[in-house]
Order: sequence, then structure tokens, then C-alpha cells
Amino acid sequence: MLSKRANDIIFLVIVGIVVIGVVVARFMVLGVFDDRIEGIEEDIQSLEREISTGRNLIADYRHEVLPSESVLHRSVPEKYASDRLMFFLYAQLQLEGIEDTAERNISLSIQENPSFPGGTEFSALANTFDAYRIRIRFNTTDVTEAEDLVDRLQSVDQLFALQSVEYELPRGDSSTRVSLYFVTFYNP
Amino acid sequence: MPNRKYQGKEREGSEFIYVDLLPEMRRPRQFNVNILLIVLIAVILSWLVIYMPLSGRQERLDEVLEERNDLRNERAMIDGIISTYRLDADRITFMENIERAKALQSTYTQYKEDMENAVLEIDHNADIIDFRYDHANNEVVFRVTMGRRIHFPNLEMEIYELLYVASINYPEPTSPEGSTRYTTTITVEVDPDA
Repeated sequence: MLSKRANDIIFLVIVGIVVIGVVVARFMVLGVFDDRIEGIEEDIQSLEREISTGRNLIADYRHEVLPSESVLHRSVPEKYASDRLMFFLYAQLQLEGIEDTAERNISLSIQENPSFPGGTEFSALANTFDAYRIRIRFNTTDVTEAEDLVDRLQSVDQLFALQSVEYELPRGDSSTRVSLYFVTFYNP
Repeated sequence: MPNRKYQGKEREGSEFIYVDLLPEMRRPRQFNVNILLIVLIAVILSWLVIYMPLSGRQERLDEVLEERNDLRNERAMIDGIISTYRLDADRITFMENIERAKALQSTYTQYKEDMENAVLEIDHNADIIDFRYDHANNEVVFRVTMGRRIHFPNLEMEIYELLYVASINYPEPTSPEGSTRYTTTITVEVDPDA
């Protein structure tokens, strides 16, 4: 026969085990519920975003005829081919009367995946599309040729955006070197 | 069977003998009230700690399930409308990105003309030596020579009148030895969205 003291100790130990068991069970059961609720709330947020995007899409474009994929790919082509792009750029220079002569000393280069200053629209778009930076340099006695070339390249089907232009203004009949940097995009 | 337990104590030559003649019986075990207490504690504690918060969670769960169900139905309806209008979300995103890229096509010619006009407005004999436009940093930088030092603050004010100009900076104009003209490099920060 156990003494009363031993009996009390056993009683308290069992009460303690029961309390701990109930508390542990609480965290387990409520944890399962909370996880499920959290998962459903995430689903709700995602659905709300999708619904909002869908509504905006309908509101903005339901009365518009969307251009076909082929038309869109004229601005941002799918396949990049450096020789094809080079040929196109030389053609544009020629159309502007900038012939590839020794006096002109044309230099044309393309840089793949160029870096842009952070936080700019150039860097944001470089994350969306494949960006290529084109450097065009040539000698000229008339800097309006550079302006005309910018206008020409910014008006063709394929999208060319001027990133920078730099030149010294020519003195008299002397020529100056113009540097132009364009960015074009390809759909990845 | 009588209890055969013997208990005795010798007292002054005589001996006291105790014989329990009652049959040996197993006494029923005493009911332990502690078990009842433990069960009671477990029930009350479970009620307070598990059931009460759980019922609140259950209500919340029912609410979110209902809300998700409604939103799924709404999305299905919107998907139906989108397919009725033949709206291709991917193509629209592509188109919007192209529009963003087209917005990068700069108004460099306009900036150059405006700067030239501003310079000539202040000094007819001014001379722009070089010109640089950096679209990524929204910056126009040009070196200009003018006849008088006072022309430069005036030029600054003239350029500030252009709506897209955010700021102008230039170091103190300098005059090369033997020359009466002043030269400095002017940096104009432009805001294409202005």
C-alpha cells in the first residue's frame, strides 16, 4: 500500500502529464487548422489577383482587335542572328548616305546582354526581353546625319531605342566622330 | 477459513493468544477519487484550451472555404468572358511590353534643339563645342562657350523654363589665357515623363 504522500505525488504527476498532453494536442490541432486557413487565404489572394487582371483585360481590350503575333514580332523578333542584324544596320546607314568608306571609318558592333543602370526602364526591359546594345561610330562633317539616323532607326518596324549619343561639333570643313548606342530587343 | 495469524505477548508467565475466527475475505479496493479528478481536469482543460479556440477556427475555415469557392466561380466566369472576346493574355502582355520598349525611343532631337535654342537665345555668338545625351541616365551634357560670364546664370534660367528639365549643374566657367570668352560643361537632368 502506497503512502498518502506517494499517492499525491503520482496524482500530481498524472495531472501534469494530462495538462502537457492537452497543451501539445492544442498546438497540433490548431496548427493544422491554421496551416489550412493560411493556405486557403493565399489561394484567395491569388484568385483575387487573377480576377482583377482578367477584369482589367476585359475592360481594356474587349473592343480592340489585337495585332497578330507576326505583327508583334516585327517589333521584337524571336530569333537573334547577328549577321542579319549587322546587314540591316549597314543598309540603314547606306540609306542615310553614310557609305562604308575610309573617310567615314564606320565601326559597328553588337553587345549581347549589356548591363544598364539599375532601376531604369532599360534594365527592367532587359529582364523581360533579350537585350542587345549596338554601337555605331562614324566620321561626319554634319552631325544632323546622326539625328537622321536616330529618326530612321526609331521609325523602322524592329524596335531600336537610342541609349546615348555623343559627338563634338565639327569646326569648318573638318569632320568629327559620332558615337551612337542603340538598344534592340528580341523575344526570348 | 479463519485467520491463522498469531499474535501474542508474554505477560507475567501467561500468554495472550489472539485468534481471528472470521473467515479471510478480500476487501473491495477503495475507489480512488483522484481518477475522477484527472478525467475532470482533462475534460475541462480540453474544452478551454482545444475546443473553444477550435470552434473559432472552424468558423474561419468555413468562411474562407466559402470565399474561395465564390472566387473560383467568379474566375471561371471571367475566363469564359475572356475566351468569348478571344483575348490572349500572353499576347496582350507581349504587346504591353513592346509599348513599354517603344516609350524608350527618345526625343533626343527635341532636347538638342531646345538646348541649342536656349544657348542662342542668351548669346548669338555662343558656341556649343560638344554634345552628349544619355537616355539611360536621363542626362544631357554639353560644353558651351559664351562671351560673358553673366550669360551662364541666364542660360540656366532659360533652360529651367523647359518643362522636362529636372536640374542643371555646371562648374564655374573658365576663360583660357588670352581669350575673352568663357567655357563650361552644363549637365541637364531631364525627366522624360514630365
